[in-house]
Amino acid sequence: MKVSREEKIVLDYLKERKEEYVENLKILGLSEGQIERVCQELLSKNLVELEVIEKKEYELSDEGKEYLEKGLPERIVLNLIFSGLTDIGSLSLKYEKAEIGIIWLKNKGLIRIVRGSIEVEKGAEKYLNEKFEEEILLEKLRKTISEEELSESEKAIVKNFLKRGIVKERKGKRRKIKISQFGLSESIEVEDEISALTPEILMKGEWKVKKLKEYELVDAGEIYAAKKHFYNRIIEEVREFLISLGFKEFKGKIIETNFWNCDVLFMPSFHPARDIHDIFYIETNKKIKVDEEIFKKVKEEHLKYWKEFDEDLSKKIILRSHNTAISARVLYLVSKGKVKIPLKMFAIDRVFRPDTIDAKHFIEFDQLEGIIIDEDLSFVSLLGYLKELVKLFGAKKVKFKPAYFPFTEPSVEIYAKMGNSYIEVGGAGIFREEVTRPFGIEVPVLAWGIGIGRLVMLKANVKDIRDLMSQDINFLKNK
Amino acid sequence: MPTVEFELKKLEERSKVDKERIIEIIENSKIEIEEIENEKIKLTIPPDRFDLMFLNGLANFISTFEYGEGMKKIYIDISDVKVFSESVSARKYFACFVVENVKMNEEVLREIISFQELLHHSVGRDREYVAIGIHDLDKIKGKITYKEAGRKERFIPLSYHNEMSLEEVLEISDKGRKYGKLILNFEKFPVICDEEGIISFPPILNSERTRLTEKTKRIFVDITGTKQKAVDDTLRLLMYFFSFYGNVKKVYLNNKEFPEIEEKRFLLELSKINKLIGKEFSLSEVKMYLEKMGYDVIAMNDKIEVIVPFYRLDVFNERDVIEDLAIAFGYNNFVPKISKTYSKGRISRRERIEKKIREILVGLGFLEIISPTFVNKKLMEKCLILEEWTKVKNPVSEEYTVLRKNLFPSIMNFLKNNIDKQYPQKIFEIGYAVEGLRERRKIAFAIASSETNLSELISYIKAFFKELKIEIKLEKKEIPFLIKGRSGIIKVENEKVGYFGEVHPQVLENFGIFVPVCYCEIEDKIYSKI
Repeated sequence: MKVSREEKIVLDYLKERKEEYVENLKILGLSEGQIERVCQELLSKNLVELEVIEKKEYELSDEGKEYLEKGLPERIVLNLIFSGLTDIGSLSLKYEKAEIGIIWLKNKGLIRIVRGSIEVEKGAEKYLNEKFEEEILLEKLRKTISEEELSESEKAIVKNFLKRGIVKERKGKRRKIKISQFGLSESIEVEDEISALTPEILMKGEWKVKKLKEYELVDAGEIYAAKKHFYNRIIEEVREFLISLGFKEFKGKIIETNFWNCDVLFMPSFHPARDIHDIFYIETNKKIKVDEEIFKKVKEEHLKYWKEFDEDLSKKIILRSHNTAISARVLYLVSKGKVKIPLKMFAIDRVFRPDTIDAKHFIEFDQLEGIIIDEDLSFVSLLGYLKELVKLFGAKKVKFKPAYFPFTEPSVEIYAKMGNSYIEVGGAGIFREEVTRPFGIEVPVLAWGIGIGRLVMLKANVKDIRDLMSQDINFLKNK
Repeated sequence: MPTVEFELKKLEERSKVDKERIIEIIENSKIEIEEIENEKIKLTIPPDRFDLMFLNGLANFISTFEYGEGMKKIYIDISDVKVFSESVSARKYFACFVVENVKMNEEVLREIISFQELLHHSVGRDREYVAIGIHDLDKIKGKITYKEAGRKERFIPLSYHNEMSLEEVLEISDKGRKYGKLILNFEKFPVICDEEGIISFPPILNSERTRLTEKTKRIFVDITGTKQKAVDDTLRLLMYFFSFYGNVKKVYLNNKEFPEIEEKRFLLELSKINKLIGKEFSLSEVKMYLEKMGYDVIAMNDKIEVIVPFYRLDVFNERDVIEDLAIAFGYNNFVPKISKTYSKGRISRRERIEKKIREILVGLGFLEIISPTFVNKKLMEKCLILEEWTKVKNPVSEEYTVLRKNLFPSIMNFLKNNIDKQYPQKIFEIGYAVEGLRERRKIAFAIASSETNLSELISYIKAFFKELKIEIKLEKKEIPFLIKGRSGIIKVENEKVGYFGEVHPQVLENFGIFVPVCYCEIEDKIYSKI
């Protein structure tokens, strides 16, 4: 029998596999439209059989999604109990769904209730570090799961979840395509029908004798425009905005030393102020050279106020944890006369921090950093620039709050009004004299750092920071 | 940064300021409000203001701010307590003081213990930098000595009934097991003794004999540590803390009065203050605002002299005083105004070039992706990459342990995550890569399609470089994860600037990808030619 080229590909595949879900035929490189067409053709030629399978799928309800984000009631209640809250009344005051949590913990035999007060059973403690089976499954249900993907014990939990309104059941249909007996025995050739006009066909006039294949109008597969990543598209706008305000862009290094990342910025070697955020250390014994003259001067500033300075720590190689390290290097360029003042400088680049990964935190993200060096700058002009920058977020209103950063004084945190609430968008200040003195800079240096990722998330309507590095091609195509 | 929780009612009682105003004052200070619930307020204290970390300190700040009457005056007398300190190698720095006429009760005892713990965790870095011992002075006999002792010396540690040797304390007690590591490497251990024996074994445990009780009237505080500033900071904070409960007094340490707390004074010029802030304050305004922040202020002509309270660890120089002035005025009461600074805007070279490259690749039909710079060993193995790449010492997840040296694992990982999506897939990425300790920018593009092959790839490479007006030569070369005979390198003026080829089927199988993939990667060496 004669078939089209695509039909032959599918038939050959089914000869190997015997059967396959229709949607899986995509791995053969066929578009959805092509797959539909091929299936209909093969069916009409009795070469294949189609079987429609009913299947159950489970997905999280709104409540389930909330639990996924905030934790199941039994988890929240268990944590509260271990933090010392054992009275049912006060648990309910602290957490509105406490009762649900208590019931489930009791059913699990992890707690007992004695006169309105909760006592913990043996074995409950291990769940402080260990996940409940329910939590593992909840995590799995982040994407829709079909019944066949579930183990027996998981099916029992899903049943429970259905009762609790955590999951929703959806009945779906899947189609399985099988090669028929006839399909197996019949010898197959790629047919002569004209599916596409070619110059040859036109020249020889073959179209006059052969059949031209008909197309269904719905056959077209979807196509998308190639494009820049939505993240970079927004960053480009930000960059243009800053350039229009007269800022020059600088680059630094992601492989840094503690010296430029922390010590130049007056972050003390042995003090809680060092821990304003954590730092990734590179596994190496090598050292990067730093300018000895500057090193000495910075060390002096530390000894004067912090009494101690850890040279070994200072020379350790790390991943840049904030772009103020770039500003520090720009101060150095100014001291060497390689960059002239007055100066307005900015940087948008990657920083790294060993944070716990969740919807709001990732270990790599970008920061927008800027400094302005000039004679007549003041705290009021810093606030002026910050007000201007907040426009990037589309915010009409800005609020300032005192803050602490080891390298600026005065320091300020910036809040932008988005909708009805204020969100923190960054920090700023005037560099301390202890920071600028080693570089011989005697005029004020205004400095600010803004979480650019948050800006992009707002503009692109992305809820999870990890989606800024999305691994889903369709998500990127649609952004 | 430490978080603390206070009852709002107690803050009201001790500050004599009402709840709404307390919250307003805190909101306009450096302290961050985490949560207000059930009449309790949870706060994050910034690391420069640990003097606000306890109830009385915070209440004092609030009432001074509200009533502007200057901080509670603290007079420090001298007691007749004699202390001697010898050189102790495990914990070099030592400080102490006494408190008399203590108004002790259960609540005070609780506040003392919780502040001690807070200090251990914050300034003390879990007792490594600083450890604090607090004793009933009336139970101490005769002169006090800080010295080294042998491991076999014995005493009854706090909450035990029988004598133990120092060595046994480290083995048996919880605190010994937890903090023993801080002194184990030293032959002799630090102890504080009176005439009857050991009263403290820092940084582990005090003695049962000198235990603080609700009946305690006089207190002896010892502070030992490995960092001078941390010990000094803790000393000042504790003296401030105890001044709310009794009379804080100095001792004779090695026959000299201790501690000597020097008074910090600064002379500020009004014009300099106003220039830095950018607003014309009058002399009396400056005086008023600084008094609200707890300074003693003397205004004369166009100068202001401020005396800094001894517990303000954060005031290093004039600038810190000026910040307090701005805080007292209220950041949100300023009228923001940008400066006239002239500067010409300019994009960085790298971004200018990468923008151009991005536009060319989009024009050639590639979709841009962004991946983490971090990859992992497993991913590398799937890519048949066996060499060692740069690692971090403290990864937070198994998935992100290694810094990529090229973008191949990132690209393959992306394709693997999209095998159920429509083909052909044409993607590219421009991002960081790390070679040893050198960072690079790399450009990678890939085509995954049932139809793709080397000649299609080469067409794209040629088109790409033609747009950049760079002449290239292609040379066949074997690359571990590409098919032998279908891979090569790109050369510009005889220098290798990239490689390309069809991805090895073993790699495709490792990732479960069932269409051919063509891959090309270009180094930032070409940036100098653009």
